Amino acid sequence: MKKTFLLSAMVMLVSLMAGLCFAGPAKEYRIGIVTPTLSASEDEFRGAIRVADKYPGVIKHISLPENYQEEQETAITQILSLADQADIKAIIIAAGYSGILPAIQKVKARRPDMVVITAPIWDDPDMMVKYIDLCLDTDWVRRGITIPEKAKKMGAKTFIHYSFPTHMAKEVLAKRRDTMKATCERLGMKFVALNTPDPKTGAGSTPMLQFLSEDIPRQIAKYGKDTCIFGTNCPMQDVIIAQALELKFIMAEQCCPTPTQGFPAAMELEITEKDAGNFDKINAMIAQKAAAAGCTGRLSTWPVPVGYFFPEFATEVAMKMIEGDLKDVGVETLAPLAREVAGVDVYFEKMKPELNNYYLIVMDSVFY
Amino acid sequence: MKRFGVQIPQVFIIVFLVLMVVLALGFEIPMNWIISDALVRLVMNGVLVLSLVPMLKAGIGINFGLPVGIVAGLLGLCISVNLRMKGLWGLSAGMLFSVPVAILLGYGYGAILNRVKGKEEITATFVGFSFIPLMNFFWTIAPFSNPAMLWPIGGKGMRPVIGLKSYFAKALNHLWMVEVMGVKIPVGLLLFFALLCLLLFVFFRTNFGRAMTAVGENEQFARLAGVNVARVRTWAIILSTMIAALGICVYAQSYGFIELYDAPLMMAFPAASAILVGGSMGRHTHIAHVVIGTFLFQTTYLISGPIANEMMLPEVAEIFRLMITNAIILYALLYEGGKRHDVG
Amino acid sequence: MLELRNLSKSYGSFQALKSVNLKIAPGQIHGLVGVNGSGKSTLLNILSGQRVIRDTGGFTGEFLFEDADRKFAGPGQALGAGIGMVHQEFALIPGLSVADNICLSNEKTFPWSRKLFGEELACINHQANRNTASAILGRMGIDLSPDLMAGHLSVAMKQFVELAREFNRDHLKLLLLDEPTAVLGTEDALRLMTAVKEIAAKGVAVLYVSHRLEEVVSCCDCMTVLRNGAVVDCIHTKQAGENQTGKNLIKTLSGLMVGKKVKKTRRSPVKRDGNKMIRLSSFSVEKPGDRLDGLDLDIYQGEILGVTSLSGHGRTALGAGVMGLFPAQGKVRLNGNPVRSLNPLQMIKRNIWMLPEDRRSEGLLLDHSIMENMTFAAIQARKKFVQKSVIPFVRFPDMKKCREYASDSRDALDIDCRSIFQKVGELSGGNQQKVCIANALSMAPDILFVNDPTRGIDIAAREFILSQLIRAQACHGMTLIISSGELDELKRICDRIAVLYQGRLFDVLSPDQSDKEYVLACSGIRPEAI
Repeated sequence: MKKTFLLSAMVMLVSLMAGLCFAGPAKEYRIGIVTPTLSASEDEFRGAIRVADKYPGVIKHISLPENYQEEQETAITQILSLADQADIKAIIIAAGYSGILPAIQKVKARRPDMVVITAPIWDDPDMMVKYIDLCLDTDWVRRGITIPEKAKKMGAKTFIHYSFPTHMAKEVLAKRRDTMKATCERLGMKFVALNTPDPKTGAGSTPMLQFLSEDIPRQIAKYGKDTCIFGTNCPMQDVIIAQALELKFIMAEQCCPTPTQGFPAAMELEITEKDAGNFDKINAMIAQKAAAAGCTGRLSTWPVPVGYFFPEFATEVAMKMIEGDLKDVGVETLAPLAREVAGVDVYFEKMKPELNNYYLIVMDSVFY
Repeated sequence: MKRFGVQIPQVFIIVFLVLMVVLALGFEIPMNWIISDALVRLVMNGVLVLSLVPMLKAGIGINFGLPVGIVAGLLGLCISVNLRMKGLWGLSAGMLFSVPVAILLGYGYGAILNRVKGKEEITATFVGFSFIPLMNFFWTIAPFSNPAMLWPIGGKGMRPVIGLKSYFAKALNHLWMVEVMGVKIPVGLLLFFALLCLLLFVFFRTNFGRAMTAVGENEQFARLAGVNVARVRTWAIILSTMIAALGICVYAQSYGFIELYDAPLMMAFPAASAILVGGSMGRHTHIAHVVIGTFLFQTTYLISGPIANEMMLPEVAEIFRLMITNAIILYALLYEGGKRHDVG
Repeated sequence: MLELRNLSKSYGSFQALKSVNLKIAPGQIHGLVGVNGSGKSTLLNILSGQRVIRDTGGFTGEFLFEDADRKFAGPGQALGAGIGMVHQEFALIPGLSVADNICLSNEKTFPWSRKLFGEELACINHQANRNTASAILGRMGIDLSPDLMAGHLSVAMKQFVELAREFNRDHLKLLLLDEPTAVLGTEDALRLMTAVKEIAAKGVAVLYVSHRLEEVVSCCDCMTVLRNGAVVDCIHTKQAGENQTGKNLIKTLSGLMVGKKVKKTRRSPVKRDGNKMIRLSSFSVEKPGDRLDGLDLDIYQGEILGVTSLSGHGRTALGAGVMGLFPAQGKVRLNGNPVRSLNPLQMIKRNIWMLPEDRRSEGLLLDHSIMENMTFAAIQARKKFVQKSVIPFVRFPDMKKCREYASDSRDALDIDCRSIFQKVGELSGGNQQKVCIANALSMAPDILFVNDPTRGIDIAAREFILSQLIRAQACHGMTLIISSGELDELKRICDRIAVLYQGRLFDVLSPDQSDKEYVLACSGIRPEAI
């Protein structure tokens, strides 16, 4: 009898401890998140901060050197220092840089059990999949199909693609343009590729933006307002959206689809400190402004920035992996999780059919 | 040719421009758009180019530290936006706020340049470049409160691009806009520029302006004549900085956005090219050089874009653009160097 | 050796040289004289192959040198042919030492390195170069360390270094000297001429261009006189006959040069012991290359005080020091009141002004009009010729008054120009100096420091400028302090002459004293000592 009691007490104690360990918000491990600095890339940085707030005490957030290109050595040391801390079980790198893979190789050599998720880094994919548990990135090329399709849905008859030589020299961007062209032809839209002054060759983006603000009215006068304008360079979006509010043409998606790119400057959104980072609220504000300008249904983008989405999503995935709930990564396991984080559908596709842990995503859109 | 101040860069760029106008007519690019835009561009860049004049005249050289003045102007504009001032009043307030800032910054900048006589241009370049990172830091902590100016996600620090539409975008551009045969003529904008040019012209007729020119030509002579050389040079720098601050105000209202952070970094170079295209050679600089230079330079830029798109030869236009901007600065430096050599 | 036949050269519509004929034999010192603008510089430019000649359309006529017809494309070719030139404006590299400058492009190199790297890249034997340089300087009678930086030297020393460099050329056949003594005092000029004679004795032909007729007469074998681009006469000293020596010859020459007789300006000295305007006590000035050391001197009201010394012994430092252009120490009392801060503005307030010795680089705005130059200082410092204005800061010059003053001054000073709006840079040296004087007169100073007023100016203009200085003293009661190396001129117009030696006041002499006493004083020797 006494023995039975003792045994049952033991069982209760163990299960209680187990419950404390695995069930509650307090975890016995930590997760390292590596992002660029705030000024280098805001979304990733804020995304990481948001996860840290969601799981207090679990997230160890470090930021890479401001001028990463000059200080890669420092970056590698920083990442390795995470591997030296025994309680860190997963590292998430959301950097959008190349040259980080060597650091991951060293981490894996030292800590084979370490879960590493990149979202994204830009090294050789075939090498990456050997060392990294899950590689995530935006599906830049497939957007060549999704954007014109969306534009068509929004009523566009012409699709204008603004870019410049140094961008078109990049394989991914050139491929996307070709895909867009093909898609437009398939959908029966007129595709127009236009060049702006090159912001990478000296005078900065000023001449490019000046050109855009002069050229867009000309093109709309020529092709009419059922035209979708797409620019490949981030600074362009301010001008394109501002012009869209005036000329009522279609802006289906920015180069980096997020409510926080282009819209705040062009619409002069007044986002209070309380609402900062609250995307539902921001999206509502944009919709309201668009309606005020008479552009309802003419503007669209992804509801959350991918950079903001990735750290949180990757953390959720990493937690599941550490806790053993997620053995195999695949579209069917990732998609529901992503939907939960983003609030809209997220479409996953393998980067190459033979790579089982490199996924590219495209998000569902929000229309204003 | 030399008698009329026409040098190789002018010949080159005029030929290039004429060629492009012919091409534009051939491609049926609407000329009324081009002319309207050219007029706007003349002023929006012209004031910045004008700001180089006092320093050139005082023999300090090209103000490659233009970002210093630009930052002063941006600060003035930000204050105006923060107070939610609108329309022409907002713009005027922005200009007004930027003047004391420009005087303050110009004074410090002048103190630096007065210590490095003979190496002003390289020092100015360096000051311009190093001032920007410093200001980047400032922008992230600037105590402004208008949410339309702050980062959308964190709600702290300034956005890189601030929209001005509900404040004073195009306030000056649209002042007394007249349309003649499809060409929109921004009369108010042009008058503003003309007024600035006139003021500067008159300034160089005053005693103080004359002293400035004399310091530029022969410092020792001016000193012997009782001119306080350091003071005159400092004022030349302050004046340049002040006009640059006004210049960015005009620029920003025309562009419709305030661009912070790294945006001012490279702005000195197109301005320098423009004044050199106009035929300025060191202290032999006239207001006419500013007007002609800015017009030729900016119009070439303006017209080359659509033509390149029509011709499907974007790279060629890009190469020409680079050649013009940089080759003209190089030519001017070589020419200046050559002249000095002849004298010595 | 050198023969010019019907040489003509025109710049646009202006004919600078009209069929000039000239012959120089080896070992001959050939003088070339003429007033400013008579074509001397053009002739030298042709001979030394300056690019400006080719760029402006070349010349016509024959230029035979060593029996070959020459048309140099650049100075390098002339140098290669054996024609060396000493420039009026110095062509020294300021950052190199004296020795390096003298041996420039003619350096001694180590033979082994020549074999190893070739002529162009051979290692320079600095010790040998120094020795060469000091040997040459010694031969010229110059006491100068070959290690000094050329940029730190006084103008006179630069001139010697320039000359030494030409002497150092091994295959020098013809030496062109353009106003070699313009910047030198009498004593230095004598040394230079001795050196020139020495090199001529070795068989080098010399073409000697100078404004100083005494020098030309004393050292040249033959003299060509240019007037308005044409040869007026060619006088051989030896054939000139008995009565054509010394002073008579000078008179003939100057007559030929200007086409009329030049009257020498003269004024009898007045002894003064009235009001002491300036009292200097242990006044030192750190002017590089021309420093002044512990000067004690009183300057009386209304006098013309001459200050002379050999070059580099401090004669130009006095004015520059009082004006505060260089750091100075010691006491300056003005009308009995001590002056604490020395700077141009303070001095202008106390009615003191200075005409600098280097007109082009300190005394004029070459790109501005005659009118602006004449009125600039008065407008800036005196608020003269200024319109009344209600707005502070914004004050405009009164153009009408400026024009009046400028045209009056042009007439009074007989300035040869197209109009008062002509750029000063286009004027000849003499006319430029007149503009400087007009500028000084507009300031109406009580005390005027004048440095080297006749430097590089032809005889006619020279006398006129001296007479204007005298007039300024007589009519306006100015106190003049004239520093100059031209003893003869100082003696003619000054009341007293202070002689400096090694930066210290050696003696104050009267203009009546003999040349010999002056020469001794300039060299720091007391007559009693001999």
